[in-house]
Amino acid sequence: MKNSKQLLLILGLFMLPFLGCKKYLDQKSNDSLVVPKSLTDIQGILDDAAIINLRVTPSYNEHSSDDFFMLPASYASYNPAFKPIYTWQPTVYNHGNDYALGYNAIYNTNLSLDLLKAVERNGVNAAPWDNIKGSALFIRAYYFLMLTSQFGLAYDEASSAQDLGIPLRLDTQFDKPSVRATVAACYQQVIDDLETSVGLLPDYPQHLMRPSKGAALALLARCYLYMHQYELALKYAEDALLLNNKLINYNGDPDLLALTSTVPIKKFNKETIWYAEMSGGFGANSTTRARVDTALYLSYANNDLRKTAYFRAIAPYQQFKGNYTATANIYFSGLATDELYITRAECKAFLNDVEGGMADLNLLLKTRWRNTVAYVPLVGMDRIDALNKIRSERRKELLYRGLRWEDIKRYNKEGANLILKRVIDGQTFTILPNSRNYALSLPDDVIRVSGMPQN
Amino acid sequence: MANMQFNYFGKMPIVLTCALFVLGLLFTAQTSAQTKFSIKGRVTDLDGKRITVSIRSSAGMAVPDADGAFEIKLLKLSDTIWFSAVGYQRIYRLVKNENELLNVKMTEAIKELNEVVVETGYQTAKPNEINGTVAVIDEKMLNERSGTNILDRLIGQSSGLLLNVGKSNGNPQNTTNLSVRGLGTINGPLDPLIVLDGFIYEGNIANINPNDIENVSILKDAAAASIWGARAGNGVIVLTSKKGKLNQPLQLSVNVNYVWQELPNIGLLNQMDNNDYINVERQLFDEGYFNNIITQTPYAALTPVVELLSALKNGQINQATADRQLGLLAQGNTRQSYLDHFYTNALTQQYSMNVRGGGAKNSYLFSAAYDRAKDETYGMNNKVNFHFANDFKLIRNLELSTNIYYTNAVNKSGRPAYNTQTVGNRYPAYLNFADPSGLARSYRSAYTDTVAKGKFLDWKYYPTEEYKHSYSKTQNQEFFANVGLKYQLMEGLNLQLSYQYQKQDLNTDNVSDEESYAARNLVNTYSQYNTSTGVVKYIVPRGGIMKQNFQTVSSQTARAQFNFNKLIGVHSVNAILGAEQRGADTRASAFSRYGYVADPLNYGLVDVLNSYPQYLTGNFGELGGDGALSSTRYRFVSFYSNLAYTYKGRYILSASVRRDGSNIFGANTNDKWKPLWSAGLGWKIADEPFYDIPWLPVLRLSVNYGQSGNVDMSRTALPVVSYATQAVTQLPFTRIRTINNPDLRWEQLSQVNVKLDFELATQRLNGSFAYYIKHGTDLYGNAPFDYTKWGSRSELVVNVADMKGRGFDLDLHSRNLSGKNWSWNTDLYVSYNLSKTQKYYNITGAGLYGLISGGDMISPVEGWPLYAIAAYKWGGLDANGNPQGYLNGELSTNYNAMAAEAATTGANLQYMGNASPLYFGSFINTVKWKNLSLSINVNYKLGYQVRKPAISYDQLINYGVGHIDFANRWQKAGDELKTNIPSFSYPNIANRDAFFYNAAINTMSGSHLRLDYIKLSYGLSTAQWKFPFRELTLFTAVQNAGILWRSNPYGYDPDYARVIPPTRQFTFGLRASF
Repeated sequence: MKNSKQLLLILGLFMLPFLGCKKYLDQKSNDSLVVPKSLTDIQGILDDAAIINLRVTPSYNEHSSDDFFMLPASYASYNPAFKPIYTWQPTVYNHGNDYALGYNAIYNTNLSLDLLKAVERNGVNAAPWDNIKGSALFIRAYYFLMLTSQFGLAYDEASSAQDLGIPLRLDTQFDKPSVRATVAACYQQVIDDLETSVGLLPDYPQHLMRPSKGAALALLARCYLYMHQYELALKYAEDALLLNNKLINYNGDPDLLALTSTVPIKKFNKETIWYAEMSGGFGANSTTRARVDTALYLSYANNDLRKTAYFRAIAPYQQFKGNYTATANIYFSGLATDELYITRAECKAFLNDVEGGMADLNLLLKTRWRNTVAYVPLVGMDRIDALNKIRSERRKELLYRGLRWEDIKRYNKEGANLILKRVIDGQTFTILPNSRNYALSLPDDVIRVSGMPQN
Repeated sequence: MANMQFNYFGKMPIVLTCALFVLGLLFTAQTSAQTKFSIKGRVTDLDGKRITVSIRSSAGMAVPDADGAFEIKLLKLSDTIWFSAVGYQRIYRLVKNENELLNVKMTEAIKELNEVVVETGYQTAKPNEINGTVAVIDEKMLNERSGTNILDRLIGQSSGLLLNVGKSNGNPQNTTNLSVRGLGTINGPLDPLIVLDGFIYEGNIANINPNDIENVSILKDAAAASIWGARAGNGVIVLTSKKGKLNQPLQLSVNVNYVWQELPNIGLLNQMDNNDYINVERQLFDEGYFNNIITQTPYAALTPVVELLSALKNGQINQATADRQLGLLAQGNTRQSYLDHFYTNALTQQYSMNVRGGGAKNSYLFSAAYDRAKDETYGMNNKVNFHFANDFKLIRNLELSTNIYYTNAVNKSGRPAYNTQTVGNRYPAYLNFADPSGLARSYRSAYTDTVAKGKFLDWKYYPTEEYKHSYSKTQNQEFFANVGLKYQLMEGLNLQLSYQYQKQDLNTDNVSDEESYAARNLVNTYSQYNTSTGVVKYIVPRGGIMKQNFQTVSSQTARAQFNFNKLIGVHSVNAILGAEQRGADTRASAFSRYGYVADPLNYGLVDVLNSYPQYLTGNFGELGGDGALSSTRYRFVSFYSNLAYTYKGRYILSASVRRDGSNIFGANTNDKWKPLWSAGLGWKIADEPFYDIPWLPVLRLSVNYGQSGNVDMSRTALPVVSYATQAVTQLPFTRIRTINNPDLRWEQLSQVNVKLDFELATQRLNGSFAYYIKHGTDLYGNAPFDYTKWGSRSELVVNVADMKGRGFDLDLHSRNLSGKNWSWNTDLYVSYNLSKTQKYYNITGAGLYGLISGGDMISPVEGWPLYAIAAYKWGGLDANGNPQGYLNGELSTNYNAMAAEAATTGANLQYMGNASPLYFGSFINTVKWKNLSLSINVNYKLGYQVRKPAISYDQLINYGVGHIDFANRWQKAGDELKTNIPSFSYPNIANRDAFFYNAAINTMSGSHLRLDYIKLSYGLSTAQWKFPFRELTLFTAVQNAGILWRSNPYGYDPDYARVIPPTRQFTFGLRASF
């Protein structure tokens, strides 16, 4: 009996340290890990540039554009599974794609917004709190807009309330099924998000990879332009230019290197409002495969410095090198002032301010013109002529930025009747204006798992 | 849970049938004759104390009374009477006379030499006290193979243990490549748990001095392993180090050996003929393959042949010069160049000594070892080990034991290994590394010679110089110590407290001095040349690069355990109850220095933030701060108990239970705990009174069931992010590592084991046969999900997979001959294992398609083995030399459509077989004649398929990797009757190439017999010679002596068909004790 009491005592003594085992097991297994809660944690989710900014933005639109072509040898060695996208046919593909990259960034924004709900906004944290909310809304809007323009038909007042866009996921609840919203709903979501973010974001960002009020205004201008709402597009382009109206002068600028060099323009230059890079996608338009459309190249005047800065001859064709990314094979897909000038010009011309539109255009083009040769301003004969000239210059200034595809769709909705054509081994492929194929195929695996309708 | 158990009962008939069969055997053997005689006697232990003994004669059984006196009936005279008791040596007495009074004293088995002791890490037991299946490898067996790593020495010395050669699973917890009884998981950790002296060993297994190890126990089934809890799913390997013994005179042992290895036979890697190789490059050049590289990246390196052809095309050289130069190149031989300049005979020297002894109150051991190894490419590995162990009897009932280990290992890289030297990412077959003009590794010399008017650093790569200027050196220091206190609380009950502290420091220096290509290349890449002033501006300072990594791992384990061991009448109880707390902390840091000079020590500063243009490409790049800091810690708390109850020495009931908790990050507290249990039943049939098979005096059946688990610390229930600093913005950011997945659970592995132990009379043959079924449920597996919700992956890891493995282990030990001067023993190990996926989701389509590139990795496809190979049915070559397969049952060369059919119906595929040996084991014969002993081990692996090396035109075109089969390719009409090698075509049709590579003709049977080692030793002892030694053994061995038989007709070593096969190792050594 005595023994067993002694035993119990010893047993008790040695079990004592283990009573603290809950605390022992609550120790963090990795010091760099956190379950995100604080504003710093949440801001960090939006500062993950590899998810939000770098080589992740949609690129299939650019794969389908008419600014480039593939050499027959490049096409022959190109992955057969991806060939259809080059000829505007439905394409079957799985994970590891624009859609996944886009919704990866969207998850980050939704997670940030969900986590932010648990943090009370007060006098002390108002600025970072607002920045997070504004940034998340801006980034989500950017991806919604770019994905909608890629996977949905162009905006059309008459049909967009029925046309299918993309799923609008607005939180991180996993049990909610994905449902494709209409194109109209997608644009409305983009506008709602951006308009809220304008009131939250700072005028200028801490770094160009972070959103700012200027970026939100510039994206609103792009969005309204896509919706053919030229008054609003003009308003937002003007608002954005109030914050930054700088242009690089191609005759000499701290943001330039030698125009002949592989990388003529510096990264984070004065024109950049928000910095983003296009994903490599299926690689159809990678520098090694893609050559610049010959007619497009020939449309640059010899004293247009962009002809030197943007192109590199690989006889007999031209390769594009005019990126704002300081890397020859990475395309810029963010927001910049040159786009705003051209948008403003187009809006003015569309709204019958021919002179104003041409003035904006010339303002931009003059910075691209060799200063030893007199610049002769372009003149718009009438509204149509001005629009044509501005739209032609829009293509020449903004090529390889992921904008051309939506521009073609938009112009065709206004009756431009642009018919794209590719000739491969004697076979001609075309895409007719307003074809269903202007809404590119969604990933096959997502369609299978989610049951959403394919385009 | 219920569902899983139900499955098990579904399997019970096998177990039951087995048991009933044995029972039937016994009852038919039982006789019911009349007893005529009886005999009396007394049985005790050596001290005359009473012990529980079972006494048996032909007529039945008897139990001694309290004084040990007994009386037993006999059927006949003369008769043999057996005395057996747990922990004592079995005794046989031949009785001829009824009046004889038998006085028997049982000797404790533990005191006998070579007595097998099972170490579970928590307790020491005799094999017949436990129901689990444990293989014990003693010191003698550990010495059969030489090698500085203890795990190398286990190979072939037990059943169920397989070294998985050539398997490459991307799993961080797969460092040993050993598996115990096949697989227990699909995506979870694969390494068995290693335990040293009762504590989980977290260090580098190479740090353990194999000469320090007394024995190794491999815990194979769940009943044996479950005491180790959540990490025991893959089996447990328990290492027990040597110790001094009480009342042992001082003893010094010395062990010296040298292992010399043959040069690697790189020639076995079937390369193509140089002329063929050059012709292919010429054809590619003519067809314009290199045009893109030449025009787009004029600075990028080209192979010597392409350089010549390009110069010829541009008119820089004439045809005659080109032909002469090409002729010279054709004489080059890259493989010979590797052998001449980079390879040598590996040599390992091992020296070790230990001193041990003990007095009445304490025992001690001191051992030291020094290993010095030069590997086949001149890499140096030096290692020093010290071990100091002391045991004290402090006061009555209190014992103290201490252990201190120290290891210091230094590894330095040697020369480049095969297939590391490239020219413009190609592997030309005709290189000469000693060429004084160097190798165009990344850039053309035409470019680098003239760049910046020669103001840059020399930009060439010299293979035979580079290794002198660029090396990595790793220093690994490990210290650990443990202390244990054992207090006898009362008779049969003691309390054991133990604590271990372990610390490992790992420092790695990667140094490229200023003459190294690595440093020159980086400096040049960022150098800026001012064409007007001619001044070179260095962004990266001139000098070398030094990158250092520091890692410190420390762990602490504390344990309190009660051991209860009591004999009450016919009941014997052996139990433990304990609690354990274990933590491991890892801290690591890394940084780089540029402009590094070793003497005088100095370094420069660099701008890691801003981007600078790279000279040749013009692209901008940041150097980036590649420093890193990390701090991780694991915490475990466990409660465990193990109980073995023996009734009448014949029936053993055992059970164990354990509950583990850990600090899995992001988990809810309840999910941090995992209970595991096992139960077993053992029956010593031969000790039953009715048992009467004299030629089979040991027969024992045990059945057990147990659960173990696997936990992957990286899978969590809450979203987890990690912090880092963005290189460009310099803002801290958080990367989402795992998203909220609240449904994740621990993997569950259960195992049923039925084992039969037997021994023939006179111990001529003994062995065991064990049959097991492993069932993994709730295994981690990928399931597809709608990645609109989170785009990072298309599949999420959830507990969706099931697997089932079954197999048997047979161990046979036979004394074939045993005479005064002669003995011949045979040990045979036979293992069978087949593990199949039962439930899994594959997005790439179900069925065989998932196995088409299988073989090297676990490829889970429902209904098929975890390692398996499927292939396209082969239809020979067509009249144009195209490989043919089947489409809708017809011969076809439509490769895209065939791939589509394979992915959907799979009708044009055939299952080739398991890719991991179904049967494996070893056959060891040891012959002794006087002092000479010869042992020969033949390993075998049977019943599996491996991929045959085959020519890949994709590899040939894009990487310049050829294959000897090129010479046998289809070249002209009619060749299709003679060869199966497709014609060479450019441009390559990727799917044609893939079809051929994955066709049935490119797999082969892996079955083979390998002569693992032959060892000859000569032992002298003081009994025969006047020597200062007590014992002296000289030995020599050939290890990996060759393949005796292989079923593939191509002459490939199936385990190393696609890599350099290991060569023979010759060992010379001596062991002496004083």
